[in-house]
Amino acid sequence: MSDRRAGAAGAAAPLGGGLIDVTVDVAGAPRHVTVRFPADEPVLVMDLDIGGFGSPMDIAPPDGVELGATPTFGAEELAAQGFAEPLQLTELPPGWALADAEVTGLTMDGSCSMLVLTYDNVVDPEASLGLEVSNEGCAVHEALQVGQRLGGRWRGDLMTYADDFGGFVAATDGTSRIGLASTLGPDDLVPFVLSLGPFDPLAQPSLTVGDTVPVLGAPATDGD
Amino acid sequence: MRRGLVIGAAVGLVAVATAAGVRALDGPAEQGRSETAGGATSTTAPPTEEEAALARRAFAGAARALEQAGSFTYEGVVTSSAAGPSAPWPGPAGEAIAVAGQVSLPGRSTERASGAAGVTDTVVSGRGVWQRASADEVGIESSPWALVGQGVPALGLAGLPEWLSQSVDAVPVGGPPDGGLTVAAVCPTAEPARRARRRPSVAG
Repeated sequence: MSDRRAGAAGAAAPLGGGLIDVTVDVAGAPRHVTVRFPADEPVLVMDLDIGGFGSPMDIAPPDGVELGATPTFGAEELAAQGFAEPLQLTELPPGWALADAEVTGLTMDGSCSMLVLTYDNVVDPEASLGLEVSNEGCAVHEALQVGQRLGGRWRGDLMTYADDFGGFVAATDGTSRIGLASTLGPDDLVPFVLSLGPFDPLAQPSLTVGDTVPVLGAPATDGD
Repeated sequence: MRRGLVIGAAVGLVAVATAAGVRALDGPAEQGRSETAGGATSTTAPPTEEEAALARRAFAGAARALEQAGSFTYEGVVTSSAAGPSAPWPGPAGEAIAVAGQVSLPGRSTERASGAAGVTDTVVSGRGVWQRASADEVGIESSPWALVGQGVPALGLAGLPEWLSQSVDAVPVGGPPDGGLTVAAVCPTAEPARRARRRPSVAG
């Protein structure tokens, strides 16, 4: 079953902008919706009739237990956790979008934290892009060489995973240490590094924070 | 290579697609378009201000109607043109997946997606997403549910009122034979969707 679900999962992947058609009846209620993503060459097309307005429904978790709301965080919360310079990717190629965000502790006493942002790609569900941000001086990537000039304020190192998984970049600007891992090659990751900018919660609503992995079945493999 | 469960079915698809619509398209949605949904007639001429205002009101009114109703149902097909392993659905690329669901605002929905490769049920309730899958409609009822996501904000068509109200560049594109109006717009940014899956290590 898991393979089947995984195959359907790419459904969750976004592209950058789509078109929505809606047909409303004479009372203004939507009766038909068509959504195309992306707009120019749709990969996904949804064609749905809408009805049953106001019908009584009893939708509950299968086990009857509601999950609590996950807290959100923004720049202030990250500053309170000691982040000197919380960062995010400010530019993404078509097909990529932020899928998850969390803060994890790097040290047992909580003196160092790491912001982890995960990006997904709709065209290729197997593609991945993960960004980890921590303060210079307490980063898990501290031991990596970051002597190569990448551009802008960033110096770092480019690596290729031995198992052909993709590439990895460790970089620093003197304030933050970042790690960027992807199924993309390391050279392809440099533009992502150069796009790093201030973390903007308004552009990324409803991000989750906590010591636990926010999605079951997805254990962290950070090695921390 | 990572593997893992991902929130599937249209419930996740629609939400994420909308979520990822972070860059508005250039120009009015309908300029140059030649086909529309629901048997509506097409138009290629830029809309007048009056037409654009009418379309914006239609989108806003549709969103309001859903919110006031508090619940609705949906039924239709979802098609992916992606090929190979990138296809977002079980089965071959281009296959139409039948979906039927219910939405109770805010944030609760159920959906059944049926395709050549099987059947998947999805429940979104609050911050949790559960799924079960089977090879057929008979087996699905006895299949176990699995929590595949949590901390997920309002996935699926529960976000439809928001998508409608936040769409931009709305234009009228025609009307169905029995009255009413068909309007089109560009999907905006919404919630990033969460996908249950393994996250690659960046620790090297």
